[in-house]
Amino acid sequence: MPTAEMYLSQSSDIAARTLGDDTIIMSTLDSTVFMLNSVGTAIWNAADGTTPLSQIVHDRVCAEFDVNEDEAYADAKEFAGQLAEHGILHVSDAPASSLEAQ
Amino acid sequence: MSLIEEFNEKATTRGIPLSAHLDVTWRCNERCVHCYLEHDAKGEMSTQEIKDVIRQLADMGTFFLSISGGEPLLRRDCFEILEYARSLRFQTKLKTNAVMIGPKEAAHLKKLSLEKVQISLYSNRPEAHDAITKLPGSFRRTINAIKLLKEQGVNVSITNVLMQLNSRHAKAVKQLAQELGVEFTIDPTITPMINGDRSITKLNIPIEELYSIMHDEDFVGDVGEFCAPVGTVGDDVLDGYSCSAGHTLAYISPFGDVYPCVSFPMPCGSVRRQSFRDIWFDSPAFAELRSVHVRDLHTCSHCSHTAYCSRCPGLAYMEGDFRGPSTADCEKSYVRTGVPSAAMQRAGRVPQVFTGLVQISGIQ
Repeated sequence: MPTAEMYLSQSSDIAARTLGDDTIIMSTLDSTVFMLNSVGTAIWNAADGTTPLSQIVHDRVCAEFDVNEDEAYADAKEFAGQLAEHGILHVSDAPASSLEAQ
Repeated sequence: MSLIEEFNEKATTRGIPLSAHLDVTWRCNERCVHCYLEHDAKGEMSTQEIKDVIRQLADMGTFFLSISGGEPLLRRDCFEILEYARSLRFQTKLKTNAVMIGPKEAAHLKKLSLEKVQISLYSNRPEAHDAITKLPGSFRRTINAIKLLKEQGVNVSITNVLMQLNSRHAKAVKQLAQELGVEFTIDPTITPMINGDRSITKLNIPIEELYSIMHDEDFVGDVGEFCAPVGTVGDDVLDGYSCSAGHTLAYISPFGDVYPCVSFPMPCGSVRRQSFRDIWFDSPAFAELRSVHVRDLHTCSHCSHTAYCSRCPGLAYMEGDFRGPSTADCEKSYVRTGVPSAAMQRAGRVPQVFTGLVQISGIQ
């Protein structure tokens, strides 16, 4: 489990739509396209900038899918990192409200 | 298969209108000689009505949204509409003549993170462009707007509708687009007016010129590949549809009327009387359209161009029969390949543009 929390928030430079369990996300900056499966969609929909990733994994992934929590957290971190590289997600070590207060 | 194609296939299977074209007004500050709209029509939807339609589209899974007109920026609430669409995470495109875009508007459009701003440009020569738009100074204003948008980092594309008045400028417009650092596309078809008036189609370029364009690598890329005829057609093609209109694409007029596409004015309902969902799933017109597969087309299903023809059912509809051929697309397939379409052969009218070449006929 995490030694330091991560907080994810969706970029405003994207378009996104969920059909069934899948979500398509397109960067308006470089037109990169991502398709998320049901687990990715669950994390994406919970990326509100204030919920710690560990809680998202616990509440939205492990509660819904039959996965080991430590492995799920490691996968979720990697997933968030990939989307962050393309500017799709913002990753922070503080919740959005704290950042806004700074 | 690309991710977009995969998503489109899912949308088709589920009957989702993945793309929507919403004209927020038919009013315009230009009077383009080839325009298919009636600019004086009254009774546009209010801001709230338009937002409600956009919300309904989001609820149904629409991802690609084109906001167009007329000139959409003539509406004082255009930015409010665009902001609302982006708040619902649409991949949003704005189609405009750009003459109302100054520094403030360009900066605002940048903040909206649109997919692109698509701008009509008809010539590299100011006098030729302005003669088509009937708005003096429109070339200068449009070019200035493109530069302002590029300075802001907005993705811009130029669309050049080709007609007899400007087709000889097409290469120079492409060159200008490259100098401006924007995308460039041509559209060689003038469509009849949405009210059925076909008089503007006389502006279409002659077939000999269409031939030249379709055999020019500057416009089509690999000419050999683009113009190669494809003889065999499988069940996958015959069981498919001519285009996405009415399947994953819908058009909504400024007055709330719903059609399969802006080029396919078959009335399917009004969002002022029904929800968009009810129209999309229950309209008899949509049901009839969706019942027609390529194999059901009385002439085109037997045509040697079936596999790759750009047949537009809307143009066919405006010729009187959406199950029939579209003359403009028959001509395109013919000039690409040298093979007359089934409709041309049936009518005994094959234009002579392949003088001196061996002409192939009768491949069915």
